[in-house]
Amino acid sequence: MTEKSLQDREQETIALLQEITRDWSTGLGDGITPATALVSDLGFESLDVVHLVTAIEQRFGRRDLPFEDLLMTGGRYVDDLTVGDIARFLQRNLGA
Amino acid sequence: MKTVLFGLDGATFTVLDPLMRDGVMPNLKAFCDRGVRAPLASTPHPLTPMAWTSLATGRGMGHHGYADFVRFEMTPQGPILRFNTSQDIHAEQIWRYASRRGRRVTVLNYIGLAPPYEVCGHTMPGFVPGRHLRRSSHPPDLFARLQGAEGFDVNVLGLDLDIERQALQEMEPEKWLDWIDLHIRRERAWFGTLMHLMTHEPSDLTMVVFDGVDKVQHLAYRFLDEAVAPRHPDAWEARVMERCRDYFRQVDSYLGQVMERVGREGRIVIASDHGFQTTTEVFYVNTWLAQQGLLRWRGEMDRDDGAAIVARRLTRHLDKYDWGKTRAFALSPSSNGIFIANVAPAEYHAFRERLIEGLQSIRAADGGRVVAEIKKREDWFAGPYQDRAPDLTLTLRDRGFISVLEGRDVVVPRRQPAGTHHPDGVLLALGPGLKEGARVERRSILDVASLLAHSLGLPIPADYEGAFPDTFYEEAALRADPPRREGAEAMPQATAAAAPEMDAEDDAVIYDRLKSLGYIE
Repeated sequence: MTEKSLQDREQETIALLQEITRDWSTGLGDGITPATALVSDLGFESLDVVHLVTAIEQRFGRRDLPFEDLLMTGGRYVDDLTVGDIARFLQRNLGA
Repeated sequence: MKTVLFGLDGATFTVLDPLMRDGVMPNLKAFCDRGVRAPLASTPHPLTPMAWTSLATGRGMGHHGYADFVRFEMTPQGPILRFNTSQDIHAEQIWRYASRRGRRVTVLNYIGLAPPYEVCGHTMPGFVPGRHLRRSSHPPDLFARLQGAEGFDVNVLGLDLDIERQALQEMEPEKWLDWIDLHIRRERAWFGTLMHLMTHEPSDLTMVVFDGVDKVQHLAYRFLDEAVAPRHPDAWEARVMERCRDYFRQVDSYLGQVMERVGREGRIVIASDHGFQTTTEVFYVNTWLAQQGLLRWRGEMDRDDGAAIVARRLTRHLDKYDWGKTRAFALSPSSNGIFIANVAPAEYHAFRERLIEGLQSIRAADGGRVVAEIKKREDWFAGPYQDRAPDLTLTLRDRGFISVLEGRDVVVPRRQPAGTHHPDGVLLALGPGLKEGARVERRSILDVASLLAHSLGLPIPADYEGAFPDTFYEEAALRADPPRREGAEAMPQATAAAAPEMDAEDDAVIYDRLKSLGYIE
């Protein structure tokens, strides 16, 4: 199996987010980058996160990913996430 | 035979009969005159996700697994809420079964369709925000095909949580008409989509749910039920009542057009997932649990004084519980459920019995018992997925939904009655072989899938828990086209409204589930 770098995971995440937000007016002139934040840049709301989680599960064929590690810290939900956060989560849990 | 399920979320004869009598719903009246009708007993907890899924699968929640909009999982990071999706439904819906057997299907605005899966035909889910509808629909190019559909507007079709939430609390009077108008527009968009597909890409089985009935009734039920509606409404009340009638007038017009399109060669089934009634008080169950020392908040809580039942952001609400010191809690109003945590397996049953006794002792200011019935998950939701149900499901005396917020008191009267779910919905059917102008005994929501399967000329799957609704048919028609049951096993005759009797096998399944959950060692 070809090893995936963090940059590969970032590109996969960006592609996924581009597909999800295709019909949205995000106003992101430079497009989605690893620094792009879901809530503050893309305008994500709670149900959008649900759809992202489902899309990740479908994309990678996994329903056992520990999304609590991505969405929570210290027992509380995080306020926002970047593309880089998601890519690192995928890198940790899907392997390189 | 071509078959249409015309779903009316939350419809009740209590409202529909006067509207038919007063000429607001002439097509529904004609439907009743030419067809057959019965009250429809919903699932033990009459809630949209559970009930519509039972209607579509012929299975109880313990087998299909779709208990609520959300589910709660304890993780090493803390409790996490997960939204249930199509992947969380573990029984085959009638449209998947029909598609597998070579029928073409169209399913619109039904719950549990996202993410989409392959069927022969089309699916477009309900309860999905507009900006996710395209990628949540099947086939992937469905949106492109619908561009010419009258009224097709993705911004109107989709779910807006902020707007939905408003109707579950007391809404300012100036917003009421806009709220009803929103649902008039939304039904128009779904109907345009429906008619476009029925005209250009017709299916053997077409299912659509108009959920504005539920939404309008949650807000305005006190103007729709003659038993409580004002006899001499003021100007604002009269406008609200007339706008509600406009809503139902439009739905009736859509029914008439579907009847015309189907003609006398097909069958139409009208069903609701539950009925409606008024709720007059709010039960702040977490406030009571905190008073009993069973729930600990992390800090000082704001006390709700707006008869609200749901947190503005559920994920933020989760942060407010002190999970290490909480043994019983409620999370979602829709579940009407209490979950138990941090209780040793050996103490579980005794703890739960004490909790039940406590809940039964709660009295309102008038001395009446607030909690009318308490359902244990293994008694009412038995099956491999019963752990998706709360440990206890409450039925309140006015059938209201619990509030998960902190109240200024445990039970607070509402300033005005609101609408809440009643276990009796509606089931009507029209078409060849069905009785004309008949009223028959109550059916179970578990019976509907077998009605649809038979109408499509398919055998009734052996694992359907309901009974075939033979009382809907003329005897001669049933003799000519008897329902065929698939597989060797006889269909159980249990109904949704009755608690299933447990046998040794059920006990073994429950034992295994409890063991896997750590309740039993």
